[in-house]
Amino acid sequence: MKLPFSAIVNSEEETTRIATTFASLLKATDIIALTGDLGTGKTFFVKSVLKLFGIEDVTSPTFSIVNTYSGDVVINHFDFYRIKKVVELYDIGFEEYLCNSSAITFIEWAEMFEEILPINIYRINITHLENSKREISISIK
Amino acid sequence: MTMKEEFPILAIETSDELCSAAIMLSEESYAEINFQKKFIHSEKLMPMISDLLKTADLKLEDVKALAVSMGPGSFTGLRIGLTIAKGLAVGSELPIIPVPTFDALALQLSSTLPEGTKIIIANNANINEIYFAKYKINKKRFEVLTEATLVEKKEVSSLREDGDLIFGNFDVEKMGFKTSSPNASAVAKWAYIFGKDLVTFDHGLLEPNYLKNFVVKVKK
Repeated sequence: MKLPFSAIVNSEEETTRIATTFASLLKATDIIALTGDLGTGKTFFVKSVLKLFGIEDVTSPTFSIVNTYSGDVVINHFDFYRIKKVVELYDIGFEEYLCNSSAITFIEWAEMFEEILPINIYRINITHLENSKREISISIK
Repeated sequence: MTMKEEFPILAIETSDELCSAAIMLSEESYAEINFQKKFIHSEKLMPMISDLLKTADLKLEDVKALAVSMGPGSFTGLRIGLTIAKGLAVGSELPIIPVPTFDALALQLSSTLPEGTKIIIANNANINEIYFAKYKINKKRFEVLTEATLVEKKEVSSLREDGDLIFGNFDVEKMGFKTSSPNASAVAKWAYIFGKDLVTFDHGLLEPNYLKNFVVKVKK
């Protein structure tokens, strides 16, 4: 997969195919910021990536703020949607999650607290076009 | 307090990967248990304290004060240490002496380093910043040159002068045991020498020191 990458998908199967290719790029300490409206499939994308790491029981972290899975690597799966102030993120030790040298961190609704994100991280944006059609863009910024 | 009433001091150090508990019995005597490993503090610190008291033939009620390493340091580590200290303190009505972690490490190093040596302590705080402090060894004690503060990683080299010794976990090399936090015996010793004015029963007010100002940066 060459970055920046962009593709239009018409089904979950096509999304899964992109997620699979993307997963092969990932290593511990990587951070992936996901943006896109409600229901565009950010969690679905993360779920598809995590399958490749042998993690099956992935649920949305919207309520819990962060879910952590331990396999060969540790996976932190954040959702900023319910966070009101950046201080709340400091308060739950967000920075320590990112410092863990054996973890990959996914962040949904990352755009809400751009100021807490490091530079040079993966950016995935999903845009709903029509029906089941979506545009997936992946870059490093 | 008379001298006799100050001991034993039970000390806890969890600001980094070293999980350490010590009981200082007099100016010349202490017992200590150390466990250098990631992610074990919540599981091991309590049994370590229990074993330590047993070894020293003491009960928690015999302890006169709890000395706790307050940071700067690991988010989770400091919370575990302070939470356990508060629990013990409330349960046995003990005072807590909050100990600045880097000063305790400087005190520990001062007993072995030559007079006049300048030491830097530099520990990773987050992806971009490190906790930084600078001391000078002075008459077997330490003199603070730069108080513990947060600095950008790239600034460190410019803050280092010829002859400075660097301690801490900030360089990326994985091998070996880093001297990045004090042993609990040094936390106890700091509390004994400098902590008399800090003794408190208001445990609820104690918070770990992350040196964060939590200032929200303006979005560009």
